[in-house]
Amino acid sequence: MSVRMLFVAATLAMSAGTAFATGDAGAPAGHAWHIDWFNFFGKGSQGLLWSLINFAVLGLLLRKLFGNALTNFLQTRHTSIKDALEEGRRLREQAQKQLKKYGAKIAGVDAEVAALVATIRKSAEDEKARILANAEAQAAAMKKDAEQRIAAEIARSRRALEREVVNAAISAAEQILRTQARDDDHRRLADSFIASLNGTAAPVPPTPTAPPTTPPTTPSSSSGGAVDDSW
Amino acid sequence: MIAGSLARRYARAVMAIGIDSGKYEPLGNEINDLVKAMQSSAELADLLVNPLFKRSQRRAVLDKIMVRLGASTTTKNFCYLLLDKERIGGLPDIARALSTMIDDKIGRVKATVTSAQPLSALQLQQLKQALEKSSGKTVEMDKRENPDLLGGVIAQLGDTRYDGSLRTQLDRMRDDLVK
Repeated sequence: MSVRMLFVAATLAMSAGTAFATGDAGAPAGHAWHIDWFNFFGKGSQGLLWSLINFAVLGLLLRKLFGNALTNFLQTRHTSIKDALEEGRRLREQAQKQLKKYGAKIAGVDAEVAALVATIRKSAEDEKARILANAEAQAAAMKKDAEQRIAAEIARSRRALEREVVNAAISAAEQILRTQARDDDHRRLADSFIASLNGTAAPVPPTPTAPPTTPPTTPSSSSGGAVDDSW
Repeated sequence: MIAGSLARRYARAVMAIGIDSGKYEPLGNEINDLVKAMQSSAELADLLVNPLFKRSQRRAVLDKIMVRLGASTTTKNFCYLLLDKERIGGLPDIARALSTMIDDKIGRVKATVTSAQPLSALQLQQLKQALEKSSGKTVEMDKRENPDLLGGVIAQLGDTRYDGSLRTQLDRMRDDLVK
């Protein structure tokens, strides 16, 4: 409907323009073609009615020739403008949303920065506590290791000292036996050995021969007992 | 030196011959005498064992020794066999195995008695009786002296060792104290 009104208005404008132009152009020649605007049924073709008919015919011809193309053009134009306006409205709404969003973000930046600083500070505190705990654990382990080493060294030294004392005592005993043992003592030892053998009257089961490098053993520990422990 | 199992096989063979002839003990004594001769002279042992010398030369030497020892034909043939097989060096091992077999056969066992001081005849007799009573076999004693025992006696009877020495007592005491 609006397109149709627009078309009528344009046609009227063009017709009026033509009429004025015709009137102006014909004036200097003396027999110019003009419209008598105040005489509807004027003489000849100069009446307003005739001009209106003329204009209507022109309008019909124009509509016949260019009506569809113009309508399509205007429809397309109308649609594109409408779409552009719609797009503009959508973009505007989107921009307003973004503006609100960024506004909210800017408003929360301080809190976010504060939270971030707090998080970093807490993380640093945790890291510090972890490093301290590790250092303490390491120190405790080192201390324990040192104590164990010291204990082992003390035990080793004690064993060495005991061995040394025992060796010295055994050597002293051996020296005494070498120098102070009399024939009677040897005879008594031999008699005691023979007596202990007689105490084991039952046949002694054979035992593996001791290697020459190992100290000799009495059968009392391996084959039933044959030596007097009082030795 | 030959493997123990091989020595025992040779010893069993000699023992079987000795049992058949009823002279296994003299046979063992002859072989022991030859072993003692080899052990007393390293040159003799080397001559008999060393393959660089001709076998005929070694056989001649062996023959002379056995004539001097008065060895029987069986002993001679056995030694010639060992020489031909290049196993005369294993004769001590064979003699030891043979001696054990002979002892088992006649119910005898060897005992080595070691003391710090010489034992009296009475003590040796008592000791022999005690060992025979203990083993149930006739004991053939080998006496030795070793002052390092400090005192007491050690008797090795076959595979069994009776140790009554002060040396062992002291060593055991040392081990107990440092343990």
